[in-house]
Amino acid sequence: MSLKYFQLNWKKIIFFLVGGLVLCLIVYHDAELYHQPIGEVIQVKKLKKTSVTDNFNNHDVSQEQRLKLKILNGKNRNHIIYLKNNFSTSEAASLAYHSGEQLFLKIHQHQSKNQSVIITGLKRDTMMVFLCWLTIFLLSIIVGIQSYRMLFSIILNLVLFFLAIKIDVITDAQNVVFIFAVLAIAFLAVTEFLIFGKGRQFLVCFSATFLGTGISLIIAIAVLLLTHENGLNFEMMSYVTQERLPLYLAGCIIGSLGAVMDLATDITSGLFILAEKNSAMTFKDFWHSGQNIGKTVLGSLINVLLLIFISSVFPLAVLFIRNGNNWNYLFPMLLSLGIVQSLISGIGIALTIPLTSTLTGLVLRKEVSHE
Amino acid sequence: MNNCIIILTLILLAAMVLAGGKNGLKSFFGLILTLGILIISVTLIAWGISYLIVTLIGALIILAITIYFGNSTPQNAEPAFYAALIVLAIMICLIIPIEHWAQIQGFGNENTPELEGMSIQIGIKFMNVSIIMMVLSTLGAIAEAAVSISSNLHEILQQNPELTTNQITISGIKSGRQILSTACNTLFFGFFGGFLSLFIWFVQLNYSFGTFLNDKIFVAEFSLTIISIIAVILTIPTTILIFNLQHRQHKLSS
Repeated sequence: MSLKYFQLNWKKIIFFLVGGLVLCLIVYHDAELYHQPIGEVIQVKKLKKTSVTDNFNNHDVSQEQRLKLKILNGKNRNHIIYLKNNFSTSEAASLAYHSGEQLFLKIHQHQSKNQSVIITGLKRDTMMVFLCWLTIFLLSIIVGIQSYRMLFSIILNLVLFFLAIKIDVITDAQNVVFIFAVLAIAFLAVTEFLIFGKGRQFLVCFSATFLGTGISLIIAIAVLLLTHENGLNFEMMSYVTQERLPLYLAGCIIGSLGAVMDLATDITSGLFILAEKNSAMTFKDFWHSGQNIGKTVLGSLINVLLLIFISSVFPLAVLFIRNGNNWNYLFPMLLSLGIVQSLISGIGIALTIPLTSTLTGLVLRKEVSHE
Repeated sequence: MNNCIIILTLILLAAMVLAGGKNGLKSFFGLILTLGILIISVTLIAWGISYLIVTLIGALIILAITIYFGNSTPQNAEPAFYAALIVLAIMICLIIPIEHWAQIQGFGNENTPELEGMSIQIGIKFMNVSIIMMVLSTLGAIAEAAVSISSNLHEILQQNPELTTNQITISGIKSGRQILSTACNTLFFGFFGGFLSLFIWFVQLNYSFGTFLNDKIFVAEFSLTIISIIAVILTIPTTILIFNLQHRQHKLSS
């Protein structure tokens, strides 16, 4: 396979490489844009190490380092300060800092001459910009110009997403499920419209995704009510500031929407192409062809979500296990949320296959009988 | 029978059989096996087994399950599996330096309530936990893309067996484009949904754009998504390449 099939030429590559380098350099030196003081680590000195052993016989090493920082912005610009930082080798909630890293600081000026400085976080924007650059670079050389439409769709969805969150926060989480259901419909309309434009394929895809997600949500709510949420443990749901169950259900809707949409898109476009070639397709034919297209990706699509939802609890799971808990406790505590979310998404994804086939069959058959 | 997980699992089983027949049933067991592998992997990591070994073996088994269980035809599965392995190797080489650069291991300030009362000096490097987490969460996307492209190519070849390598490549890239945009949707929405409450928190606390962009948890989530998308992009040419190599071999041997 020669490289000529990809959108590859030297001019483009050099443009991207130079552009990326310049961009990263600019962001690395953008400390002036922040109000918070930022200090760059210019020297690290290792201080004493202490071995620690906890109640569960876990051995760790607690270490101290002395950082020499140069302030990069604000009124203390170019000042040199010294700071002590404590971290453990496991770095669960502490971090070891290295030369060249930039830290966000909080500087308290006391009345006397001395000041106290604390580190509030690491500056990671250069890394973020690098990752975005790498993605766009790879997109444009491997996939080419068409990827811009996809980027546009993602950005549009991001804007909608933040709008919905803003509304949720302003209305004080009165109607979480409703807000995010509306958001899901908006996502759906925008994304499908960008793929199909206006037309019958758009209609089929939209209704199939809507029904698939809707039915799976209704099933989920029914089962949770009937079982009184038995087996589902909301205690360990992270970052919660609002009522848990509605928030969780809203997450389930949004989380499965992408996968359901994709599947509906694949099946719809596949069936429409088939129908174009063979105008005598019966309802049964549509059903079978839809199943054929859907069944190969069914498992792997649910798997994508399962892996995302479950692997996100890995750090907590490791911590729990080392704190003397076994899986009898961990399973309901940590995994139940991710598993139920995967199950609800999976039901939606699976139901979309027969739904899309049926709807396509209905729409295309009607067309024939009209003519 | 009053446990909602059991009931939902049974409903999922029924829905998957309705949607995919025997294949659906096989995929269902594939999912259960994947879950089992994930649980075993995280336990091994917690016991202090080397993360690279756990990552490699866990990833290998998960890829094999996902690709071979959902697919009835070995002609589709084989090139997909090899391509997925190559992409996995590339991704591990990319993820390790990125994790060291980003320093997103462990927990953020936002996690404080969950950590209360627990010993956090446990002697397991959370950097390694982060790496295995990132590698495993890209696997689903890699497997899906590889299977879709290889079965598309296979179908195209069946309809028109005289296609040259060039023509196969061109149609591969074409179907790769479609697969990429759908994969992006799955991934982006998956992450939106998984971290909805985190985003609400950010907005509630009026985090500024700068705080957002540098926050440990947000950066961790964002890089998980982006890395998965990069994995899908790399899967496209790799699968086409492997497919072509195999096709050429078949031609020569017959």
